[in-house]
Amino acid sequence: MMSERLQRFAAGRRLARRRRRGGLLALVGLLGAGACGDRSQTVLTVLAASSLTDAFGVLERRFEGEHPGTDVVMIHAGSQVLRVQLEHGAPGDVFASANAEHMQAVMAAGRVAQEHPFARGGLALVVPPDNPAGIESLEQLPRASRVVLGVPEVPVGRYTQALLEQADRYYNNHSGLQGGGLQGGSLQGGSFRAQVQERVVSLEPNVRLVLAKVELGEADAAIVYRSDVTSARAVTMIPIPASLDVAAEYHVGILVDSEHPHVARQWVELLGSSPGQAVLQEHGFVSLDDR
Amino acid sequence: MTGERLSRGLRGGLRALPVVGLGIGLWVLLVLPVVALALASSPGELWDALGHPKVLPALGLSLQTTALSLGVVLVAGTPLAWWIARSRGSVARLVEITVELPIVIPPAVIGIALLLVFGRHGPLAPWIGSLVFTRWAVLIAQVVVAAPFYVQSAVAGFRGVDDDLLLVARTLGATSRQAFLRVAVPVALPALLGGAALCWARALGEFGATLLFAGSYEGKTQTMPLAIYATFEGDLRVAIAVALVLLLVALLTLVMARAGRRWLARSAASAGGGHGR
Repeated sequence: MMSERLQRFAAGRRLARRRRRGGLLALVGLLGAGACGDRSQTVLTVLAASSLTDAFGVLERRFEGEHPGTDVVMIHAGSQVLRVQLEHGAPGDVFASANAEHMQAVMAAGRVAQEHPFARGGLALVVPPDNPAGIESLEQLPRASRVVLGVPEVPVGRYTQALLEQADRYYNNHSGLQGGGLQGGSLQGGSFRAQVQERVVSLEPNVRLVLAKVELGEADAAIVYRSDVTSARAVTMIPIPASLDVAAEYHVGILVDSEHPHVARQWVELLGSSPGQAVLQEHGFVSLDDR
Repeated sequence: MTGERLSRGLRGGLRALPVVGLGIGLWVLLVLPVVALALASSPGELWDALGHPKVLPALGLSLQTTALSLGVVLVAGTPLAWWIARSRGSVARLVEITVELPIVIPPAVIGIALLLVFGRHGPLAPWIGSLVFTRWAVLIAQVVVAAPFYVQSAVAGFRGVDDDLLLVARTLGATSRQAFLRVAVPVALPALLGGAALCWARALGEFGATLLFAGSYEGKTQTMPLAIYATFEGDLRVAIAVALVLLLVALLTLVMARAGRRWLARSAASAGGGHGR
């Protein structure tokens, strides 16, 4: 069992590494292209929130297929990291942020002139496949002895806190109505939120790190973006009641000093197109018109 | 004639110029980021950073865990280095190479490896449970990434100990332990202290392995580098000021270690002079 878990984890890592290496190579290529002058291939650099990694990977292949001679280079990091890099002059063509705030900051720095939301992402509760704490709903989260969340300074951590607040209000008013979780005196230890906070053992700076802790079975439960829970991940997803879910709004904008504004616009159009939206939905995002 | 020599000297100097320039360039590259960090924060911001709720717990935790990990490395690493330096066999060479492995492995990979060894599903779990998310994890991560720097330096130091010196000590009636403690250690002391300072500095800056293996929780596993990263996610200015606090602490300690080393060397020299007389 451990070896299987290990293999799946290693496979995920390898994939991420290959991607990262690809990014690095492309960066080297970019530098090379800059030094040698013209190059037949157009390189479109997309700086995107790490939660978009998988969906944008699919869209990248699609875009490159539809636009021969164009190489899309993905640079994935936390939105706040990308924001700081952009504020300090990092080159690129498109910026996709996991929330409006970081996009606003980049606009204030004069790097993006126009932007718009293109998708929403909800949260999900994840547990290891063997589910050691026997959690079947958000309400049962306090059963976990070790909970890992995103640090409140990053968007996922902020949304998680908002979710816990909402759930707290809801469960404390309705306890007993929702079969399971808080029944049997589990409310003794305080409110839902306080119980969860008590069991938090780590506040991680990004979703992938949070997920890794669950995949390795070190955390009994964690809250991540739904879009991060792909089939390749060795975790079980437990849906969060739609009424409690807080959605992250993803924003995209073209950098004002983009060298290929025309290609960049085509990329942004792909995001809004129905095939683009379909890919995003496959990866756990919610289309904007669905709400 | 002198003019010729002068011009030859001048030509030599001119020829050396590019090399000197390269050296200066490297030095500037090393120092410039630190200067930029220092200039980015006003004294007021630095003071505010000290009062940031994340800083004092993280600083305390960092100092506590690095002191402990340095202690572990000194106690266990010194005999190991001695054995490596004194043994001729291929086993010793193998050990020497493997000890240095953590230097070339990316810290994040070390973190994953530690998760697999000391995690819930690791081979040690039946006996010690999971150490992940505990202070033990912080300590282990620091020891693993930092110990090689000490052992490497100590091995080099012990190799510089003259065999004859030890032999003389033994013929004068010293036990092998006495010969080690009173001859080998004093001779290798500069290397031991240099290695210890480097080891401590590496432990203090340790980030990747700790983040993966120990997680990040205020007051428990969030050391200074993790606190800097956590604040960076929120507010860059605070992160810079917090980083500056760490920088000052590290600088202070390295300067103190250097002064201590010089003082020890001087007192050792004067003690040696006393014996000679």
